[in-house]
Amino acid sequence: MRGWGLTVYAVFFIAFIYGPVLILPLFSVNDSNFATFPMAGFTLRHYAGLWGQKPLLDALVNSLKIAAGVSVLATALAVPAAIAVTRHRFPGKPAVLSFMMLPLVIPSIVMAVALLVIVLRFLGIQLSLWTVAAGHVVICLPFCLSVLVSRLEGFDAALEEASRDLGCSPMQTFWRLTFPLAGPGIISSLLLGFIISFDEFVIAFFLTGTENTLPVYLYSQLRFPNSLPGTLALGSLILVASTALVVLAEVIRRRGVQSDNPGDL
Amino acid sequence: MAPTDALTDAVAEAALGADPLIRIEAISKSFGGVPALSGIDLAIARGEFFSLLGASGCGKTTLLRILAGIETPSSGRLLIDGQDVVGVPANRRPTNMVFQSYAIFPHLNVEENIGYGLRNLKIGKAEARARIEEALRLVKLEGYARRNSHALSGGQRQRVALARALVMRPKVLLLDEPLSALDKKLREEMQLELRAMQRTLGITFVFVTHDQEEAMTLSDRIAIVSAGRILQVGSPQDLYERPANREVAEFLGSMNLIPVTVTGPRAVDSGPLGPIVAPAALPAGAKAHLALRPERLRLGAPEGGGTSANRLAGKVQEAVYLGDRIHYLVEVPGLAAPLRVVAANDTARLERLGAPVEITWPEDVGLVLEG
Repeated sequence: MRGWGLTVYAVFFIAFIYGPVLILPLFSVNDSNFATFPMAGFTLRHYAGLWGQKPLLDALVNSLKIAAGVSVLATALAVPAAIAVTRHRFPGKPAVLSFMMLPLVIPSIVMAVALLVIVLRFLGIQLSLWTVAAGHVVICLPFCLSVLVSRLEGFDAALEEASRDLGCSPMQTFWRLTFPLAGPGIISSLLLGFIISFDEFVIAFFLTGTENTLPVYLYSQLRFPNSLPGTLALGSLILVASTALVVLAEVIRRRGVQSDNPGDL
Repeated sequence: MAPTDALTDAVAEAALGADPLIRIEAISKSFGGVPALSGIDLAIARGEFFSLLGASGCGKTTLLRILAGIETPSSGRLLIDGQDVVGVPANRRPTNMVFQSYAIFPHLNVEENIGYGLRNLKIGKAEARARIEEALRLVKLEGYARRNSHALSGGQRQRVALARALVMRPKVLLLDEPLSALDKKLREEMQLELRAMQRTLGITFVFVTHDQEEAMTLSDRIAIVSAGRILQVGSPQDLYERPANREVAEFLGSMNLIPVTVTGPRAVDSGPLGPIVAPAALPAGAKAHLALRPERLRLGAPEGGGTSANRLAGKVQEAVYLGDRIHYLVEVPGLAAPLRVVAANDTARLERLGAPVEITWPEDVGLVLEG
């Protein structure tokens, strides 16, 4: 039978990618405080126990607040940048674009150290959740920008000219045409920014003050074996929520692209 | 000169002389140092169907976009209805445009597309509704008001684009090759509709096209644009019967060109072919080209008599039977290129290939063009 080699390869590939991730939900329902085989039996007590852990819940709320704020701010900053990049010709455009995309390729540890130096030495600001959020905006911006650019690039420039021709000022054109057209891109950008900020560890670890974000809190709890199952349970919940959000973002983006570009002309 | 030409000229001149709707004065435009338009002067009358005709890249669309206010001229003046509009943005001009790509707003349905600009006019809801209904009727899209813009055919999109512009009741409607994406049958249908619409509404249309037949079908007057300049402006008859130069002559329809030297007010010498009678406005001794429309030439048997002043002997090199007419290529000794002759099928019999023939034409048919 032809192609069985490829099938085996594909199975291993998928197992390799998703196997480790699936360990989390697996041990989160294991009736034991240790993540080891053989498994002891099914339980949801680790999940139930989550509600009693105040520091963990505080960290979760911190992360949600930061992620929400960061996604909105990064998207708000990326929208005008995406319009400038896709609609206007200006000198040095490729350079500006690469510059805005740079955080994508800079290792986050380098970025974190650099931001730490800037915040402490140059700005003299106390570390807090605010500084974490600021750092997250920097790393989310290129992601938001690329989602929005790919959305806006697909549209005929004549649409905006037509809007102007029909009596709309540049501002009215933005609200009545560009914004609704970019809508699906804006939603994906918000979701993507949210996920990136929510999952981010390194920058949060460096830039946070006395309060923790969730990933930083979870990391700090790894020292205590007893809290591991709770961490696994929470990790599983986050995994499900993150996956759902990413899938949602992609579905929205694709549906938008399909329905608005029916291959006219 | 046919009497109809004189009439058209008089009408155009009367309309223009008094108070043209659009006056373009010495407008130039360059993109990054590359000139796209140089020194355009043009006046367009109220209620005129005016076409800008030229090959792609000649600058005609740039001129249209300058009229719309989408592009700003590098220099020159533009007056619409007496008002200098250079520097007035597109959203505050009394012009509306039908884009080549139609630019139908994808997130809106048909009536929302048509009503898009109405929200910027200070008119009431009822008035807006009435105008949208009227526009839908005008472009024959009644019953399509709630249709999603994705579910429209090319022809319907074109109609929505037209309705969306007309509903604004512009002083000038600008059309950028609006029919070029339609198939031939639909295009011809839309040409007739556009013409009727323009006559009924009395709105000035400025129409950009590369299709000379379309321009002639639709226009009161045509400006022929080439390499950023206007070569000639006139009614279709003017341009066809009296092209100002060789470029116009060759651009509109088919034209035979024979190199000649002017010998007198009504005479040219074509070297190997001998003297030919033609009205020549050029000084004696000037190098020129004699231009002959293929359909104005007569094809007959050699020594066939007749009274025409000019006759050339040759033989049939190619004959193409097209039903209503027959196209001939006639090889004439002494001429580099064969002469094209179009004979109406009711008068001509089909000449066989290689048959000796004689081409004759009346003395006022030939045009002597400089260069």
